[in-house]
Amino acid sequence: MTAVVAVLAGAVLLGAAAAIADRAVTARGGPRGATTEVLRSGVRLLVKGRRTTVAGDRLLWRTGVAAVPVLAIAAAAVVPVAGRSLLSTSADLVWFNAMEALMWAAVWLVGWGPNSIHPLVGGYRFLAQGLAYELPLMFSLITAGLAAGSLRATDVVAAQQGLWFVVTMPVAFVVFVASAAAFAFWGPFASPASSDIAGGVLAELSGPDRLLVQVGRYTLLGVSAAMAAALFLGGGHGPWLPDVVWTAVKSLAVLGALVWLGRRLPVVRPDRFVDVAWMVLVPLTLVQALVVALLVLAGAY
Amino acid sequence: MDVRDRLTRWALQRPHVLLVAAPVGTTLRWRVETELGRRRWPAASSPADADILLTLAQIGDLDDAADVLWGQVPPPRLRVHIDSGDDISRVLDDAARALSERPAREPAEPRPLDAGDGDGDIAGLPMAGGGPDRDGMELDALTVHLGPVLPGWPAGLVVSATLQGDVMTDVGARVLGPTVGDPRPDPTLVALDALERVLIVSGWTAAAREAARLRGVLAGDGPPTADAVRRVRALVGAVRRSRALGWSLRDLRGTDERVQRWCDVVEQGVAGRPGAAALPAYVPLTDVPELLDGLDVGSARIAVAALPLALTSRDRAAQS
Repeated sequence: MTAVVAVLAGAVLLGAAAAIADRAVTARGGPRGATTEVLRSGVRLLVKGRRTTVAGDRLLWRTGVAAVPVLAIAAAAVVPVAGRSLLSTSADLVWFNAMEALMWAAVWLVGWGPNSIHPLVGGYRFLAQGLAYELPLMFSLITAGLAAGSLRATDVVAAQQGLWFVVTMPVAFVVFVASAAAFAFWGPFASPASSDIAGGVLAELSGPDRLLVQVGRYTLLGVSAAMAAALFLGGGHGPWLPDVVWTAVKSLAVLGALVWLGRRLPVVRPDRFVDVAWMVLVPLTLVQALVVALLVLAGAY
Repeated sequence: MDVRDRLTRWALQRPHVLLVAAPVGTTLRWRVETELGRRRWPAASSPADADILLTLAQIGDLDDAADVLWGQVPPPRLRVHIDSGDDISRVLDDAARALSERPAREPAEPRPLDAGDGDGDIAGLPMAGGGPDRDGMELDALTVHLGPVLPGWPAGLVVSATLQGDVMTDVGARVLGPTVGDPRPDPTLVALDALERVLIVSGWTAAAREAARLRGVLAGDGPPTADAVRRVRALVGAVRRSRALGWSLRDLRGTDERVQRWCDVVEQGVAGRPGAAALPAYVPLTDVPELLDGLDVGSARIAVAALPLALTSRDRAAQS
């Protein structure tokens, strides 16, 4: 029970950190001002009423809205902290990826539900973008599992006792972090919710519904940063400080870098990104996996 | 006052504003936008995201559009109107106070529907029909209208199209709201306004905000300060250099070229040589359908944002 609460609290805190960092780099007012504004935005959505649309598919719409934060928290269940995770299976990496893949359904439903053109276009953009980065993302996850000889997240962290995986698999690391932004449809990958389609999947959401989706997006962003720290930056390994502190420091560092960099770029158009993903990222991540496979055979890990 | 009221008041201190403006009255719109930016009241991306629906001066037949949008704003909500530049601060101050006293729940307004009871109709709305798409495949076709109120969109423009997937065909364009009687605004500000639209629709929020702030700074009296000139140059430089933005804009029916032109106009304007750079050639409304035909919604939004549209009588006079 304590573990469940800890994971829930951890996921929500990471989400809050992501939202605050996002605010701090896009608006003036410093970290304190950003914290106030994030809180204010949350409370504002709690007092706002719910928007209903004509002939919307209410059941599927609400299902999608609720699924976004639930999936983000479910993904957090396999993030290893101090050699343990809430849910330790023989295929943690597959679980993490599966939660992100279910996000396809959730976000598409959020777009489909209201019977409105902008959310619908946004929902399909999420799918198109997903087609672009899903394969590179899977290859980078597999690469980390390959080097560790296990798909269990705690094993992957343990395998980085000597050398962090980012050293031998920089491409996989970058692809994983970029896909984190894409799954949260945030920053340069925000096209499913961008202003050229009036907020896309968010366009008809108001009040608590909008809050749930936003909490889910930021939580997924924060949780993915923590997962990136665990899979590629050695998780809790580090001198002097306890495991938990190192995990937190590295997760926040990845998150900070991601937010800072992501907000300096315009939104990437999904139709143009698909080209790059298939022509450049898929081959690159395959070569990355091949190199790591050879290193495994050579006994480098 | 109980805790809930105080919390509501605090939460609504930075209300999201949906601005309904006409093709004319540009100077007033800019002043209002600058004041909203100064107060850090965000622009609402859609009616569902709005707290305040703000109409400006004369909006003419846009009033019906404002009614429709108003029906989509969730409570607590407030509809306000600004008539002239002298009212801005007072109206906004009053609005902030009044908003938190608005009811959090309102009885749902019955929405008038066409009594459509044809076979394919749901709640009076026609279902998407079918038709061959641009590649000759049979695909659902849905008639949609973009505008007149959207982020990064020319005020008052309405584009109608048949959507297949997100590809637009059968495009039509018209203007809502008054189009006569506006003094031509400063070209430097017009160019910054166009750049802001492009930056908004291409999702470069930070740069879009800077463009809006600089438009407010340059709208002040007297020549721009050295600091303002430096910031303008930095912004224009960043827009020109950005490969990510260039990637979004290229091969988009002259959009890249138009954005470069707007950049030239801004640069020459702050260098004290207004008129040294020519404005991009005005595009009449009648050319819009051909320009957008066959584009997807995202591309069309970027192309429209960069357009020097001739919507007002002065614009049309200038191009003839």
